[in-house]
Amino acid sequence: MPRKPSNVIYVPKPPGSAYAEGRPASRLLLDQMIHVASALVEHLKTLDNRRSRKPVTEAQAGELVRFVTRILHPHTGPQTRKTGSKPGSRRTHRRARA
Amino acid sequence: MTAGLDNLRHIVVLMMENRSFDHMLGGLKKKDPRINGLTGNESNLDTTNEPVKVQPKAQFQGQLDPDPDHHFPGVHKQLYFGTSGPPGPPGMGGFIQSYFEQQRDADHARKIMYYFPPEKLPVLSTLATSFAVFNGWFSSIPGPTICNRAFAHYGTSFGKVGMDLFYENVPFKNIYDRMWGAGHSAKIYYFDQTSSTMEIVNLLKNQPQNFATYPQFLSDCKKGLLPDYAFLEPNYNDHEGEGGEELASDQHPDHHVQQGEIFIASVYNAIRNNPKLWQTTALLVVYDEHGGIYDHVPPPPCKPDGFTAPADATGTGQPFAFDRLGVRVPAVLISPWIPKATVVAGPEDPSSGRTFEHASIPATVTQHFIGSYEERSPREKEAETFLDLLSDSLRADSDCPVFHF
Repeated sequence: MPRKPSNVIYVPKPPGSAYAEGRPASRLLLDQMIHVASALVEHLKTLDNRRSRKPVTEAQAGELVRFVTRILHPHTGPQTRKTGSKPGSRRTHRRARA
Repeated sequence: MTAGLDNLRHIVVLMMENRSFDHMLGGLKKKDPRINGLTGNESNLDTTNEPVKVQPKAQFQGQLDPDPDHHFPGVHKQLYFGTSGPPGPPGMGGFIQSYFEQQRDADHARKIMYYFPPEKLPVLSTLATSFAVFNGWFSSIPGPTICNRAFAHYGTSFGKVGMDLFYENVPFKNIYDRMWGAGHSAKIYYFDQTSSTMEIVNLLKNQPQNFATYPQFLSDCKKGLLPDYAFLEPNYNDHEGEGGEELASDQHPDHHVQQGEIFIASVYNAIRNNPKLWQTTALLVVYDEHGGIYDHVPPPPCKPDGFTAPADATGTGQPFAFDRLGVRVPAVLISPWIPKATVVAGPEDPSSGRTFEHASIPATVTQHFIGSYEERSPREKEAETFLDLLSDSLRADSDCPVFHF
């Protein structure tokens, strides 16, 4: 049987019982929650400020709406829409409006 | 300039959570007396006035629950119990007294004196004895996580001694802005979005330039795309990730210490497994603060930082002028250019010992990548830097450890 090289260190893994997502959060994590939420509020203020600027494009409006919706509806998954994203379909839409 | 320094292209810092030097590395003194660890005779009085000695009985989990107090007033008691208090030297005698206050359980409070025998921490112990271990690396403030981590980013906490994460409109730039401003790259890698960052909130707003995730770090190491300076954060909470259950790896009590060992090893392996990166990178593994756990070395005085925390912020009835350091923490510098078993003397050697703190991190990064930079805190300007530990000799791969897990 080949000898283990002397510089190889085997690192034991913790038992499965180490995982405890129901463990009460430490003060560190509670503080992190508060700060991340505060950062979000500040970020939303930045986005909301754009609303008062003219002109606001559809893309800019959509950016804010998507940002908030992704937070409120995380279960709805990726929001990239394929339908109508082709250049041809957009031209068709413009002609229809004209 | 040594060959090691001449070859250095990347500095990586991994900052773990809440363990003291003696708790993690104190047992190494028996193997190498140059390491300023434990003789076994160090003690604190318990609440019955009986001396309780340190013992190698630390467990990976379940022993330090509740989380030992490490906020400013609690650390004040740990340092100064039984003494006349500052400006006199700390007696390091109040750790059991402090922990007792949380549960009023005398037996449980004694466990704050426990430490790990080296064989229980094969990763940290091996790295400490294979590369460079610092006898005198102290947390920057005798207080909690955030203000200490601020010193790693800004070289100061701007007068804060608590958990406030808002560092806006401050007079000195963080190390990331300094680096980008000087044409260098820098990033904070957090574990994933559920763990996110414990760093300063106004840094968080600067995504994506300053932030990436740990999988990206692994990819960047593999592809040779690591930025000049990288700061790594472990996983801070148990949660369901894309690959299943993700165990917290920060080693913050009461998270499983072995998962932190695996995380440290995985960071090390990621760098070591890219031969070019391995020869051009210095990795510092350091802990943010002691987490309320016993250490025997009194934190020394330091240059005042030019800021003062008022008495109502410290909670001790006295203001704090940032003129003394926090409790000692484990710190290991890793590079194949570092001679094996380097021990950097600390306060135990009055003639040549050196004192490091978290302001040493931006001081070192700035010195190496940017050079002269005036707009920094008084503490950072005075801070020791550590790249002189890189030598002219490149060690063989067979002389450096490899971790399997």
